[in-house]
Amino acid sequence: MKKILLLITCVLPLLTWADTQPDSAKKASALKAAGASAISEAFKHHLSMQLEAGTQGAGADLRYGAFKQMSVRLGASFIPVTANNAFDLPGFKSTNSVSVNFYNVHLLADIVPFKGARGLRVVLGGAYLYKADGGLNVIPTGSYTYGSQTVTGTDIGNLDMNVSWKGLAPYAGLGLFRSIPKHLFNFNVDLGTYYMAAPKTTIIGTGLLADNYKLEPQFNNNLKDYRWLPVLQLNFNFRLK
Amino acid sequence: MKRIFSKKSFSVPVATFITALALMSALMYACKKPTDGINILIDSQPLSPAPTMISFVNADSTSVNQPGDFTVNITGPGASLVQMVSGGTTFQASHGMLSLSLVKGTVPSLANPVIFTVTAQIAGFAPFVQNVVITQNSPSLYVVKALDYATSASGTCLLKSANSLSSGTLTSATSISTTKNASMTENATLAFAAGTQMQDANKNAINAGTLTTNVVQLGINKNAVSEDLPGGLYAADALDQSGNAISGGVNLVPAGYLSINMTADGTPVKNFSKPVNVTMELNANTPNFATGNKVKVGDVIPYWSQNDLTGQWKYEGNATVALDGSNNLSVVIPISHLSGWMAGWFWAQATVTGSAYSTCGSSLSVNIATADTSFRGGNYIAYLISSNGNIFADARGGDLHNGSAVTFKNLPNVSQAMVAIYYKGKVVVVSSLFSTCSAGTVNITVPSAAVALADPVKVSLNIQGICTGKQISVLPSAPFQLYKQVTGTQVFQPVGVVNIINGLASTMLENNGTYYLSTYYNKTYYQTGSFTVAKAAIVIPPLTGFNVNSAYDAATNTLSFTGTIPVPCN
Repeated sequence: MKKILLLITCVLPLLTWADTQPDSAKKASALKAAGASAISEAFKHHLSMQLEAGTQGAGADLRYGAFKQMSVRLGASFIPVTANNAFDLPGFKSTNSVSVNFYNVHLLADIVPFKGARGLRVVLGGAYLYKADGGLNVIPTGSYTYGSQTVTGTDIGNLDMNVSWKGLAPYAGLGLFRSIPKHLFNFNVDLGTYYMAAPKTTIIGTGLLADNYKLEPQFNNNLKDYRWLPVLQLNFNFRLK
Repeated sequence: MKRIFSKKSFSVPVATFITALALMSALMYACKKPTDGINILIDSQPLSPAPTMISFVNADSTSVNQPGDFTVNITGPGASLVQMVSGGTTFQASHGMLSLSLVKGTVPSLANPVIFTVTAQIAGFAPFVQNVVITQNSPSLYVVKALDYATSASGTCLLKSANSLSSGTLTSATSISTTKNASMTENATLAFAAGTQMQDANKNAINAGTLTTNVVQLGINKNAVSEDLPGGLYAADALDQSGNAISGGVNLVPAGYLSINMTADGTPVKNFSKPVNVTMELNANTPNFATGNKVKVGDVIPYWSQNDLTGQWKYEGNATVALDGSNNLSVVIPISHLSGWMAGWFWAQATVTGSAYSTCGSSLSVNIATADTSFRGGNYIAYLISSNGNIFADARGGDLHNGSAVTFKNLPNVSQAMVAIYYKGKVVVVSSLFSTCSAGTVNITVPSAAVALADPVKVSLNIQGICTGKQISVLPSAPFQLYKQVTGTQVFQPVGVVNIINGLASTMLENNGTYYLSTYYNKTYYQTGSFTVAKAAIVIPPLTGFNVNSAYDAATNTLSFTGTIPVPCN
């Protein structure tokens, strides 16, 4: 799962440097200091819809310019990912599949801290991760010799290792480029992180693997620091009002 | 890339952004690897159902001559379903331990028991024979009391003699006798007619000059003949007088037993050219299982021979009780071949002439409670005993605990019977009397005092087999023999078995007692160093790759042992 997150983390910045830039004719001025009146025009009472894609998945937000230097957005995002044979367990012939599911609803505030850099936003808020889990399914293959006994993968059974971060998660981050398009459309970028609930792990084995639930304390301990869900997200904004 | 933004306005937010990205990446990599310290756990119990420990110990518990490493034969109807507990059918005992199990997928039950016989021949001992009946998938223990030809155990007596032969023939009538002692007040005499030729297993004459004889005799004192009878009381593959198998086997109720070993200049003697009359004295207090009274002159007792190599019993005939020259009750058994010989009654599921009882087809469930509901000890034996004192059936139980149960089936119609539970070699509870054909169920409670240790410490064990170089651990399922040091000596004696199931077990040990644990598993002998139990974490010296750490929890008075053994995995 970490590999997947890192992959997304690494790839998405490249997208931000692509030629498609926000409000193509206006992008330079979007980053320039535009003065108080311009800020007022940019945010207050404006409404936009945002489609987003990034490390927390794909989703949509509705954004409202609440104050001169702050807008709020309410939305949801989803990421269902499955990868097969993503890793090896030394000495254990098996196929495996990794699945990651993060479904959240979030409420975020975008604050422009510097009048001279309207393209930089501080983003604060939180999400409720109503589905936030990672799963690893291991299916032994081949045959194994233990002592004088030979057992097949079918004899051994399957192993499911799951971790859940379900719950509330505060968010802090930075935004790059304007939050609300000056005209019809722009895009911007979010970089931040959710701080998720402490993970809860479960390990369920069948057949000869039934006792692997005993590994849960160790698995929990290994994952206890996995509470940061980094967000690197590309947002496409459509101005509604 | 096309220059779009002014450098100044762009640099601050982007630099901030990149710094944040770098911090987040560092944060991610700082996390511990999810699989660190995680070894996939493989249960072994399904691979080794009904683990069964055969523990061979000298019947004389004080003897330093203990059975060691030797090859074992498995025979009988269920032999093909038996394996070493870690797999394989090269049956080998180590340090007097033989750890067996059924093969993967075998489901023993009362209706479909797995029955087999364990035999071994060790110089200096009477042949080892143990019949095993497995009716459930739980650990069981069989203690084979090895009968030593050199030293007599309690309830036994010996004969050791050397007689001259002429070309393998006794030229004159010869009598040799076992020697009585305080714990065995009856003896036996072997009377050879003049001209008796010693013969080998193929009835070929042996040309030899010296006949060496070793005999061990068991009587009813100390219940020796019932508890130590080679093979046990149930003989699944017994033969009738015509040599035909008795359907369902027989249950023996012995009155006396002789293990006779003879060699003529080193060649085993197995046959005689003339019958040898064996006069076996009987204890005057022997209850006659057929009549319910003490045995008396004129009573008829069946006699049986036992094949040394297979443990199979054959109903040879009937002997009439008479007074011998010393006015003692005795039976005379004419023997023509050598093996074990037993005088005793029997009962069988099938109708067999000479049987003391026919069965009524009833089963009896014995439900065992322990007054201390948290008690959990080692294996136990349930004996069925007539009101007159005949032990006429036994059943092996797993760990003794609140809720233990055993079942006897196809019982004889004994109107006044009782159940006695033996634990660690002593009776811990006896039921009230009941009729075997109508009781159906007997509930029995073991009092705390009968099993309590003076100063107990609960011990929990967690053992893992480590597959070297792999992220795999096997959770062993095998009986581990527990030895305790005899106070004031350097001698350790086996005091029971700890049944490890998928790596876990619990038992109780005596505070300040000194013990060690050992097992023979995966063709390897494992033994902990000796340790003295304390109400604190203790150090257990590593030995034979069996490493154990301990921790003590005062709140529960529990000493936790966490151990590892290396195991081969491919």
